[in-house]
Formats: sequence, structure tokens, C-alpha cells
Amino acid sequence: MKAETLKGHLDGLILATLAAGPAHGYAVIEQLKRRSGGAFELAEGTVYPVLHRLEAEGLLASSWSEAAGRKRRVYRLTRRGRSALEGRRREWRAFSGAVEAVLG
Amino acid sequence: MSFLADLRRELARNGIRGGLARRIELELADHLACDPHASLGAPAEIAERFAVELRVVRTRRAAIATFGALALSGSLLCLSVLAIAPAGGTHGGAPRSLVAPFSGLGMIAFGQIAFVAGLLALVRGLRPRGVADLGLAQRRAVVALFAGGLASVCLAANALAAPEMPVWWRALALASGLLPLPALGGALEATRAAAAITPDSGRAAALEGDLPGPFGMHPGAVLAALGGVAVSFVVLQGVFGEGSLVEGLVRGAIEATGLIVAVLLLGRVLGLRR
Repeated sequence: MKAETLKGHLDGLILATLAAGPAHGYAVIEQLKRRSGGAFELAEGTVYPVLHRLEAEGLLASSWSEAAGRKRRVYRLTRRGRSALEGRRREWRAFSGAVEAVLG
Repeated sequence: MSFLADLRRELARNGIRGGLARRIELELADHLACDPHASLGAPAEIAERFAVELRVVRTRRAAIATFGALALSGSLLCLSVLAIAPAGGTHGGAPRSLVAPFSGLGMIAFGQIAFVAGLLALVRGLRPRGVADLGLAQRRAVVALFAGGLASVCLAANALAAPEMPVWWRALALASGLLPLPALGGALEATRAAAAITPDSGRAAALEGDLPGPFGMHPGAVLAALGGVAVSFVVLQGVFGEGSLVEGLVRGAIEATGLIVAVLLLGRVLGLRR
């Protein structure tokens, strides 16, 4: 699936990935690939700007941790992020249900 | 040149420097350490993506910070003005220096500019329809913050230039003039951070872009009507507050002149006219 197709859904996918627990950027991207069965073709570097924006919007929070002597930024969902994720899930179910009904 | 060095250069080219650039570098270095063959994409593409993703959020935050700082500044200014009567009012005779009348006039003029520009910055900052709108919201915020700062300084100067007023009022007015300055400075810094990652791109819609529905079809008429309301308010305040029709008309004429001059000087910067 091309990045263009993902446009508009990436926020929700990232929030859903982080609903399972805190993770750093690389782990988020790996989980996205794994949970989608490798369907998403992501330019991995472009996921980080979205993580930063979601944090600036208050949907994610982040903090530094240390891993193998390296600094690592770990992201977690905030309360607002959880509520935004629920909203996106509702929207997606309504949208996909409607498309399914038409496409058959 | 390595990927990270390229990335640093591209981030700087997009206005992303300092702590944020360092953080991005560390995050992507960690990513590459996890998978040296990761397909991160081109540094230029990543850097531009960061700027695109962050400029809307930063501008919105700057517009809200601007309005908040101005609300604080405006509230303290109003408090000091309202406290003039309980403090015994201004003395009647000729002022001892020109500081008092000019700072009083500055409070009124800069206060109005700050209010209008801050409101416009908030409206455009919360509903941008493109990069040009972000630039306009930032310009409005800068004008609002400078005007708000000048209004606050004028209040502080007024306090210092009024020895006939009680000490408690002078202390209140001085504190009210100085206290909002850090908040205004913080909002200016937030606006600068937003402007650093916003390219100068195209021309934003003028006032019509801020007005809802049918009002957007007649921005000039709306502007004239709002000016008329402001002038009428000043005239009525002069007539009933001072008990003099002449005083009301003189104040109204000064207000009208001030509005026309402000629109001529700041109209393009604030996006009130093309």
C-alpha cells in the first residue's frame, strides 16, 4: 500500500500502535509493518515528523531513555490521545462499513 | 557526507535548529542503530516533512499564546483604568509633563491595535488554509504583541508620571504595566519559532478570509461598520461620561482619525486590505 493511500490514516494507525504500550520510533514503525502484514510501504523517516506533531498536539507524550548506551525517545499515548483514538476508530468503522455496503 | 550530517543541514535549511534538531538527529541515529539498512528516505524529504507537520501546530500555539498574553495585559490595563475613580480620579488642571497625556493616548491606541491584531491572529491561526495563512497569522501576532507591549509600557509610564495619584494606584498601574511583559515576550518567542519553519509563500486571503458566510463577501463594509461602532462608542462615552457633546465629538474625531491612520499603516500587514 502506497504512502499516499495511508495519508489521513497514519495518525490513527500510530495512535493505535501506541495504545499497546510505550514505544520508540523504530518499534512503532516495526509494529505498524508487522500488524499490517507488511502491507504499508512507509518511508520510515517520515513517521517521525508525525510523532512530533502528535506530541505537539498533546496526543502523545515522550521522554528519553537509555538503550545500549544510546539515547532513545520513547512515546506514549496521553489521555487525550486515547480519546482521539476512540474517535478515529468510530469514524473508521462508520466509513469502512459504508464503503463495504456500496462495494459489496 | 553521512545521512545524519545531511539531515542536520536540511533541517537547518528548513528553519529547524537547536534542541529540536538535536533531538531529531538522536532519534534517527537510534533508528539507524536498530537497523543500519532502514529505508528512512531522503534527508531533504524528512526535514521538509518536519517543517510541514510542525508549522501549523506551532502557529496555532503562538496565536493562542499571543491572545492569552494580550488578555492578561488587557485585563490588567482595564483594572488600572477602572481603579482611577476609586483612587480619586485624574486631577483637572494642565498636566505637569507630556508623558501623562501621551502615555494615556498610547494606552488607548496601542491597546486597540493589540486587541484587533490579536483577535485576527487567533482567527487565522486556528483556521489556516495554507502556508500563506500561517504567515499572515504570525505577522498579525507580531503586530499584536508589539502593540500590547507598548500599551503596557505606556501604562507603566503613566503610573510614573502621575505623582498626584495615590501610591497604591501608582503601584497597581506600574505592576499592571510590567507584569504582562514576560508573557508577551514568551508569545513573541513562540511566534518566532513558528515563523522560522514557515516559508514566505503566496498571498493569503485578506479580511474576507476571516469573516463567516455573507460577511466575507463585503469585508470593506464590515470594516467600516466596526469602525463606526468603535467611533460611536467613544462619542457616547465622551457625551455621557464627561457630560459634554463637544468633548464626545472631539474624542470621536480623534478615534476616527486614529482608525483611518491605523488601517492605512497596518492594513496590508494585518491583511485587512490588499
